[in-house]
Amino acid sequence: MSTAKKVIKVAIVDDEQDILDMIDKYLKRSGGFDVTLFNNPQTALSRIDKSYDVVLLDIMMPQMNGLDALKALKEKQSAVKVIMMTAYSTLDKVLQSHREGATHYIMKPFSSLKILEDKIYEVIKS
Amino acid sequence: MKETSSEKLLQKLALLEAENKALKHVVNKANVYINSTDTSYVIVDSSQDNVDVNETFFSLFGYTKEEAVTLHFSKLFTTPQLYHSWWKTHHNFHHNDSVGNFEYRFLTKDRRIFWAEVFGKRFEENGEEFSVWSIRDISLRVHARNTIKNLNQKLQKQFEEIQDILEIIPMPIYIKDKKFRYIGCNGAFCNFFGLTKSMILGKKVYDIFPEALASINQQKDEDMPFVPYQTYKVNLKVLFQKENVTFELHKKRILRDNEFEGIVGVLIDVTEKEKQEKYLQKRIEEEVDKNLKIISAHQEEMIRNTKFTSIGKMAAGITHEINTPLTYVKGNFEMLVEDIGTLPSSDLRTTMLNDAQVIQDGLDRIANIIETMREVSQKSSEQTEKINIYETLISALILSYNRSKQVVKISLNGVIFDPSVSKNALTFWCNVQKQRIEQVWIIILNNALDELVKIESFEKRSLLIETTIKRKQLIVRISDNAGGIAHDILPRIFEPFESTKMSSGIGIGLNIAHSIIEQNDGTIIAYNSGDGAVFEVSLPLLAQS
Repeated sequence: MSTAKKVIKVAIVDDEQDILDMIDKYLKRSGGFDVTLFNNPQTALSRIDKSYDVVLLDIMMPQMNGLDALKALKEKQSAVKVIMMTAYSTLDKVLQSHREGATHYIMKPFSSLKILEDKIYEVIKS
Repeated sequence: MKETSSEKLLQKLALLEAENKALKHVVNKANVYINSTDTSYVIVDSSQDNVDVNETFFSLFGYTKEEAVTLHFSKLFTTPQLYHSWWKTHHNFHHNDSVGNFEYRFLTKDRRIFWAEVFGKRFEENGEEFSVWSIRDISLRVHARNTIKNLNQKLQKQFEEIQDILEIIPMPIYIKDKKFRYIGCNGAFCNFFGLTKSMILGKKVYDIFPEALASINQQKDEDMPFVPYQTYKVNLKVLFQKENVTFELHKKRILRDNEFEGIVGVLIDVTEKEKQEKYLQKRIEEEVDKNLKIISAHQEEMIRNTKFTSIGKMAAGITHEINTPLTYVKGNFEMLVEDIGTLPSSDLRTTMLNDAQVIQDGLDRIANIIETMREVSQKSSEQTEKINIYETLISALILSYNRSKQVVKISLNGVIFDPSVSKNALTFWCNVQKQRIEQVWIIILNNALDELVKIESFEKRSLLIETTIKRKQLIVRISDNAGGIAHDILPRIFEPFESTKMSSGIGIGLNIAHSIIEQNDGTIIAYNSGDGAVFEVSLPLLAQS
């Protein structure tokens, strides 16, 4: 196990429990991920620390705008890589999130969960 | 006896006195007659010397009696030639013949010339030959006659001029007298009906034209003594001409001393005008019709836009609502298929995998439709502003860089793109919607990247971006070497639902790019060049660029 590659610590922030469960299930099956689920951004903001490698952040949540959450998160943990998940977004939101420090974005519904996994690896490497 | 003879003598004397008295009366009468006339009398001897004149002569010629009786007759003529002409005539008539009705110009003492009528008659007295001449001043008559002659000449000239003018006028013109007989017409009139002047002049309308036409004309003519002007349209098949001709007939009454004298008529061919009028009428109707259609199309467009706006708002909500369950349905289904794949081979496993493929296709289709709906409903209300297009291009390249750097080295105007490049290294000012234009570059770049990843070797991939200015247009050309666009898709590449790509990026169709560029007054074209596809976007540059 010591030679196994480093486990990637992932936080998933989405108000939809079904989505959280699905991503959690997929990443756990793929292996190599330590996944924490947050169904509201406030909790996520208080709990995510520098131990996390990647945060998957929904851009549209009832409790808090994903962009504001991103901003707050980056202020707290500037090194953390963020992938924005956008179900319904305009380009300016994507561009804005890029400006606010998001490393990548992925459209909902995902073309495939494999792509989501690829993106996580992608941002880890960048 | 003496008494008797003296008585007789006395009687004789009385008789003589009476005779003398009667004679004196006759002489007086003759004198009165001769001198109280407007005619001057001259008696000349055989050598044409004046012998006697009456008193009228003095007043007519201005000579005294003494001068008059010593004057040679030739001096009364204005020229010697005239005298000789008179002399010839004088010689040629016989004794006792009278000559007259000659008109000569005579000369008064004070050199005034006048016209005179001359009568002459020869007579003999005591064996000597004389002739008596009456000379009457007819200057007034001659003058009047000459004036009339001049006037007639002038009139003739004017008439000829009018005739010339009539001939020049290209419209058919005719003149009729008060009995409606043609008494004049021009060549155009003859040509119009294919007749000669001799066939027209002196004739009435019935003599020339067909009954139907003639009776209308005659009826209308009969009104002319009572109206100063008349005009009406006549449609006829002109003699010797095949086409149907419409002309306007204008008639003017001629009055002399308030009496009807005839008609002047002008024919104006309005066939062309009628055609033009009909054509214009038709065009107006067509235009009105067209405008009505445009208005109704606009109304439809407005209604449709209103519908779209509400549908758009609804779609925005719906897509979000559908996307959330679709995300976990798709994701869980993906895992389900994976699980099926791990089962040992069996007919059931094969059937399940086949069924799963059908479900997968359906889910992808739903996802595609939702995506398109989302993009269409998202029609930006962004305002246009003065934007540096180069800056939008760099923004898009930076945004794509995370992905692109793993796919291809992008060449921008011959230099490999680096995210640290200045966004204002070049300036191309256009009046556009900034974010939407950025979106276009991202769409094109993502499309190219999706294709380029299919090429195995990183080194063999190429993506070139070039900016050029041509005729006040900025042209951005993005070309790859990923094999080009399929020929069956190429003509419809910008149509909705034509994208066959499953993008891992934003995944917006080229249809969106097309409508954005059109909204920003630009053009976008796609073609294959070399071994790849080229997307060329043209945008109108602002004057200061």
